[in-house]
Amino acid sequence: MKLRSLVFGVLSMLALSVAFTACSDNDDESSNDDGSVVELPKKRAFILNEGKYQGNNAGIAFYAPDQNAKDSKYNFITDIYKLQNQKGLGDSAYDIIEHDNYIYVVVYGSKLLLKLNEAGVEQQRLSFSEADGQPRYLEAKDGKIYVSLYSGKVARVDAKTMLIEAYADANANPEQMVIENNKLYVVNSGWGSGNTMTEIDLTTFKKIQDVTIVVNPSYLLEANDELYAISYGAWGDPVTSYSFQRIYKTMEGDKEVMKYEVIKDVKASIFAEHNDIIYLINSETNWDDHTAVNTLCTYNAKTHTLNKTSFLKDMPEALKKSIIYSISIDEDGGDFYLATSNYASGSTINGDVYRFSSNGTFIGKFDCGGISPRKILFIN
Amino acid sequence: MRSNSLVCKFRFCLFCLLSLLPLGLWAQQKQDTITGKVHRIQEVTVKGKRSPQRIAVALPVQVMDKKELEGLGLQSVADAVRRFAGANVKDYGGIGGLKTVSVRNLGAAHTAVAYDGVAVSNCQAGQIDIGRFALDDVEQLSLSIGQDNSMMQSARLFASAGVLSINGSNPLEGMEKSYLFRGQLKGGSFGLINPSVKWAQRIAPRTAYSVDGNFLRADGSYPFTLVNGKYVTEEKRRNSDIQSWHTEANLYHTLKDSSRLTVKAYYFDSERGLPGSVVLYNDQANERLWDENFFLQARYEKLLSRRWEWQLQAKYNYSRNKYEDTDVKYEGGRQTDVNKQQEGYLSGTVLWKPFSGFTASWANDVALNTLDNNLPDGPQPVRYTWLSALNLRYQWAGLTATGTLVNTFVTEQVKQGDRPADRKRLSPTVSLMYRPWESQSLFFRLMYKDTFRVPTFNDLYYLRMGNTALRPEKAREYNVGITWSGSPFEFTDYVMLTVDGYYNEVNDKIVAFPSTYVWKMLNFGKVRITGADITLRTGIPVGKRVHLLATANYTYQRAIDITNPEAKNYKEQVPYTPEHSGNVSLLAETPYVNVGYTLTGVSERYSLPQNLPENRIDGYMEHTVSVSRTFRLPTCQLRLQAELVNLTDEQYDIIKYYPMPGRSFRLTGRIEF
Repeated sequence: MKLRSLVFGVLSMLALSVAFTACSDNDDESSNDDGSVVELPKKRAFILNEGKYQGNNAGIAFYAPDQNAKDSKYNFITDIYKLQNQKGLGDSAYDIIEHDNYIYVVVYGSKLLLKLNEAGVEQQRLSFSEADGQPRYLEAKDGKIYVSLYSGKVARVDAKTMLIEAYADANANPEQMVIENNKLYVVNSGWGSGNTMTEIDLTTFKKIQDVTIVVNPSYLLEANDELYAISYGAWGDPVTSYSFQRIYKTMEGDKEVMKYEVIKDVKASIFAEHNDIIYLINSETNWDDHTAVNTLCTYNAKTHTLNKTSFLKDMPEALKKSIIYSISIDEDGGDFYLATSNYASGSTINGDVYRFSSNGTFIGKFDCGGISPRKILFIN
Repeated sequence: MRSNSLVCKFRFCLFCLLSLLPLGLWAQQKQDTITGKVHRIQEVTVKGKRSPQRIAVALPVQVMDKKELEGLGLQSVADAVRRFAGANVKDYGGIGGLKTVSVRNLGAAHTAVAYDGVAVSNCQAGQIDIGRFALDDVEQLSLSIGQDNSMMQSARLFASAGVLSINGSNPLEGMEKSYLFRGQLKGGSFGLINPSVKWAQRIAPRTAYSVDGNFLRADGSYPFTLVNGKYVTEEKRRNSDIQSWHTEANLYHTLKDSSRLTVKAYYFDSERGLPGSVVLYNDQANERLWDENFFLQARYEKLLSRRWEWQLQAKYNYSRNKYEDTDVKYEGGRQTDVNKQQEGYLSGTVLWKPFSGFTASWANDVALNTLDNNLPDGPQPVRYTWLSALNLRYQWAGLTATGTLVNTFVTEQVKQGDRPADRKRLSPTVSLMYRPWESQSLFFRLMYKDTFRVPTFNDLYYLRMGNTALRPEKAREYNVGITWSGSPFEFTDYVMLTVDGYYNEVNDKIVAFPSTYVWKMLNFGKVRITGADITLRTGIPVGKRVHLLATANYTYQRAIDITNPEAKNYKEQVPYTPEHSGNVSLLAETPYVNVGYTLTGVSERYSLPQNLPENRIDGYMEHTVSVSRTFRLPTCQLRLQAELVNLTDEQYDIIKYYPMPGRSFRLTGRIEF
């Protein structure tokens, strides 16, 4: 009897341990795909399509960079958010990031922050109030999601509860943000007339200072522990338009201050960073022949040198003439994804994604599944 | 000479006599007596205001008179116009929503709107909001493709690709009594209250005036069904209230020499909420719009002799609108735009008939338009326009040939910034009509028209987007058609049928073109439109006391974008263009009540240039029923009407995410003495 009990006990323990092991394995591999109606490969790219303003046609397209979905028809999904959640993403999506194995998306017109699992299944959502204004960009650190809001504030949202914990003041119309050394930096476009970057202390979540930069800043990134911004400039002013600038710290007497310098001989409408190299694209429309003129170059943030040679070797003719709306770099392998905003008479139409290898060789092109692709998020 | 003069006087007296006949007079038309029957002909209702011909015309025209407009329970001018074949009405929903009309997909800015014969202009936006015209005072509504067939009109109306004519009338015309009071109260769903009064008085044998007041308010908060994937929710339109006041005074005077002078003073004032597009997950809607419009217009028509006629029109127009949006994203939490437009306009037309079969007219318009707004560094443009239209018509046997040549000259001054180059252009129109058999009311017609639209003030100067280098947007229209009327069946009074096929091209479309950041107005785009319009109209007597008026029309339209062969939307149907649309209306007049029924059907459309499933808007069918009765009391006349609009509660959008109201009702009571 004792032996039987012992054997039973050992078997039970074994069974339990197997069960736990199985559970654990399961957690590792697919727990964050819960609720998915499709089986996705491990390596994933999510293309955030902004949609047409007030068109309620923002979406997230799925792309398998390795084209290895079990069912090949899922190597590309036009709108994985709609597929997984059976509803639309909303109006004018602006930013998408990943933090602690979850995807976060802000939808400007719909005033939403969405938390999705890595398969695009919605977990939670936060609606911003009229006083908050529309959300623009996202940053994340240590379980907190930071959202720039058009009311002139940055909201700190707890990633677990998806509730706003606190607000920090920025200036009018804060845009893209960067977290660096426990500080949050955000550029303020001021509806076209702002010319500041706000520094916020993440511990106190209070504004430290405003730093003057070129008017109408929109984009901000970090490279080699320094900040770089793009400002669209004053209306109709060729001097300030599409200014690419470095924002750096320096000592004035015994006080550390932040200054900016406009990088000469270069204009940029979008940029991306990889291994402290900033990839710059200036995409401007030639109003006479209705095509875009694209100039590509790189800036080495370590040496502070500009290389005016294009980082792409063989740009297709169609890409050369298209408005390049965003550039995303896959950290795993360094492939470049340039996404275009296409236009038909009177309206924007579905864009295209052009993929290049890290050495600038053209790999392929595909319809991005929506209008105005803003960003591609890669998950491995 | 004397005999000519006598004939002239006789014809004039006959004209005046006919003018005084009651509006609903039944008449016989010679060509329709071929079957030996006496038919009740709708077409030649003889009255002071000339009723447009529908059949014997080279350029397609469709007409709705007051009986149909009232009897069918139509809600607004836009609601009526969308029942015309070939009309594309963009309706942003609700009483206060913008409503514009475009003829055969050429664009709203190519379509002129004439109110009592004088063109309504909007140099800033180019398109006219037809939602502001109250249907109550409309005697007749007509839509002409190409241009109106009349040769006695202003050059502006010759210069457009189509003309929507909204005509009122002298309420005392054809009446013996010297005054008229009409009080009306309408009420209905979504908080609609619409009282109106009219007073008309004959103050001298040849002079009468009328004064109108029309107040309208509605909260406009109508329910709609929102479908978002698998989720279906019941929502309500927010911020769609409207309050408007419209006053009009008209003077009708016939001078001793039988020339006619009409003067109209018009004032319109409104405040409305703009509900905007339905935005998923966000129902914030704070946009408001205030409109103020005053105009004074005069029209003088004189028949000089059997050979000569002329008319003169003059107008002063002032309009002001204020748009305001409240949102934390703006500096100070609010954005306010104020625009003021003024217009001075003079038009003169002379018509000459030197010999039988030949008619010539020459119309000249001059206009001065200004725009002031509160935008920084506004150019405050002043536009001077001279339009000259020469028309020749020759009729020989069964053939009628008409040619029009419009010369346009536009020059502008600006206080600051670039000014556009002067624009000069000749636009020809040619039409032919052939009636092969005198005994048959059968006509073949051909039309070619070349028109263009001058860039609007917004196109040229709008803050940051405007482009003074814009060229005009060009349109070409070709039409071939057959019209016929007769009495082929015993059970009908008459049957009228028109079948037209058309081909249009729009080049150098003026559109907002993107860059990474700023957008700019540019000439970009080419659209090819092929289509067919079919209209059918018949009167059917049912027994001795019941009469049925049935109309039906159908439009086929294929409008494709041929701008760029490499574009994803190349040769795809342009947005908001149904391939099939149509309308059926029945109006039954009985001794007890009049019953109206109308059905509108529109096939699927696309909201964006790419014909993708996600851009598709479902087709719809909308039914409206109306019942009315007039009580003739000893001292007054009382009319009661009830309307059930969108009977089946069809949920549909004309513009995507601007839902139209579901089922609603309207009750109208009117007293007249």
